[in-house]
Amino acid sequence: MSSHLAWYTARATGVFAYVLVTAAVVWGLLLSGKPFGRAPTARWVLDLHRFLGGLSVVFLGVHIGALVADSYTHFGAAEILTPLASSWKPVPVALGVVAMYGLVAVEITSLAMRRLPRRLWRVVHLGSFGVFWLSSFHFLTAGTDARNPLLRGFAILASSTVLYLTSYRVLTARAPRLRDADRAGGPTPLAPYTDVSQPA
Amino acid sequence: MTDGIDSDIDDMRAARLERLAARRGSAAVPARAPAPPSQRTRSRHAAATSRVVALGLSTSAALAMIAVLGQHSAPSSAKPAAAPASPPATSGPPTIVVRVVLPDASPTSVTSPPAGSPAGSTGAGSRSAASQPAQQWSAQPAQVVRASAPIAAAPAPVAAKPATSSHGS
Repeated sequence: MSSHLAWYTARATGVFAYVLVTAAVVWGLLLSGKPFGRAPTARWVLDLHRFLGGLSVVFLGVHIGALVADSYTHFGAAEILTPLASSWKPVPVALGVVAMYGLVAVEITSLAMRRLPRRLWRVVHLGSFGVFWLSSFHFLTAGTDARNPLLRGFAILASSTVLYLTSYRVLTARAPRLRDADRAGGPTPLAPYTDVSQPA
Repeated sequence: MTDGIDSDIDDMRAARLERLAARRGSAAVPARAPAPPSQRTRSRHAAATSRVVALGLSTSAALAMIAVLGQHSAPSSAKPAAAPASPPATSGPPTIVVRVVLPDASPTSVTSPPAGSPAGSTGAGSRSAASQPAQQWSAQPAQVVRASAPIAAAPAPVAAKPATSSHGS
């Protein structure tokens, strides 16, 4: 077991980095899309969304570190940092490399949110959708455990959920938003990602 | 730790109300009063609890998966063959020995590579075929039937016998 610990760690942390990315994206869509009528007002909801994103970066770091530490697979800095540099499944690995850069960019801009222009933060944050889909394809095409029925089923369920919530968000964003102004005097729902400055 | 998110939310809420008021052309909407300290304390506790739960669930699940992989997986079959530390040694293209018995009962050998097998292919790049081709098609000179070794009990002369591979088809 110990001789293969790095390999097992790489697989497990890769799977759960994908799970955490999925959870962060779904949580964010639930926050902003308000599919259940109104956005939750509790502050821990947004805090958990941020924490899930940060935790996925941590798991991604362990995933990459374990791949480098594993003595069987030869993933060096060039293969991990450069898309298409890997000789083993270059395209699926490249999807993971690009997703890694995207996830790091989303996390950094989220940490520096108050120091960045709102529009820049928003554009980069929308890249989290790309991170999710790239991660999904990376998991399904390069993951050793992608043939596991349970994990494959999770990937399909996660993709369906994100697709549904994204569609709901896009469709409801076209609805008039002036109703929010009527609530301005009362308790304001927590909708940090709803850009009401944009015309309907 | 959650003080930052409290202030972030307050800032976002205030900016949002200002934008709404500007769009309606009305006076600035009075922002909601900041939450009392007790409510902020409860909020911080809830945030900390959710963080601990998320961290505990994900970490314990990952550790459990590592343990399950260690107990039930066959490491050699599960690992990718991206770049093996020591690639299997092969000498030349794979060989199939076809034994042909001529009418004078003197055997000879005809060698040819198997159909669909590129020369020098060791299976690298394919996870499942990583180790098998190297074992199946590694050249083994002892199995090559040489023309100088006559077959003692040769059957009746025939035109040609079906091809026989020493490695199986």
